[in-house]
Amino acid sequence: MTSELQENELRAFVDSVTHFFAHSSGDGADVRSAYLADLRSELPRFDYTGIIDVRGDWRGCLYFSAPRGMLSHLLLVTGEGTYSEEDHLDLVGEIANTFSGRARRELGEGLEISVPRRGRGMAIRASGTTRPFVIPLTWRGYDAVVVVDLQIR
Amino acid sequence: MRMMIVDDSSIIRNRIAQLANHPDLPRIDIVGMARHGGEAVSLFAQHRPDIVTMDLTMPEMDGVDCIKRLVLMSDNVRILVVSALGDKRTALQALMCGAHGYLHKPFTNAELVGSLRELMKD
Repeated sequence: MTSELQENELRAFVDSVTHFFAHSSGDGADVRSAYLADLRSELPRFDYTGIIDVRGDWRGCLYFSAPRGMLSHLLLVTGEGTYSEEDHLDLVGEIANTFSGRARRELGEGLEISVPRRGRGMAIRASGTTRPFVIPLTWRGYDAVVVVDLQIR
Repeated sequence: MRMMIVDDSSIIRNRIAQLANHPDLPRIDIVGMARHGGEAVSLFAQHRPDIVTMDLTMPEMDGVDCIKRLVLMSDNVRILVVSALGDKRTALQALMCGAHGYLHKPFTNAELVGSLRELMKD
């Protein structure tokens, strides 16, 4: 038996995205209203995606997907001296990890999170029978998404 | 001071290593960088660092288990957890296992330097 994510629980993820960009780059992202994705089609994504699998009181996953340009810009802002493919994959996973870790502050340790899976150009479909939430954002002109595909056990 | 950095992200490892040279800090020599707890235990045995920065969510051996192992290997090691995990229970668990400080990701340069200074005070 599972149930869908509630609005206040979704808020924890939105806040984690807002906090990340404000705190790590000193320049907040424009985080727009979340919407429900269509179960029948692929979920939105950009060049690179970092996925966190979730267990415990929840099941499913969340991911952050961003274009290469945004990740390169973030690497520059955070002082990283190299911009290799591996750096971009590392960063997109680390950002997904940071979002999920901060959301745990609100949702509790029942949100058991995995180490990130990272990939480029991955097609992603919903993991369960409930529609995932898509949180669109823009940072310094780059669009990206956070997708929260979770059900409560 | 001899320092080891434990994190599965190379970006975070490199960033901490760079900031360890900050002028507000005493001299720090990086003696090892590990991608997970198992590697950290092995490097720790070889190099015996005085201070360690420790991620918690890592493959193979997580940070809390690694802290327990390092504390058994040395009474004097000082450990700063640097983790995205934001809940109080995890922070308390890490501190009770032997960590001396806890810094949440994402962190600013000033926050990391401040946390390292605190760690090296005693």
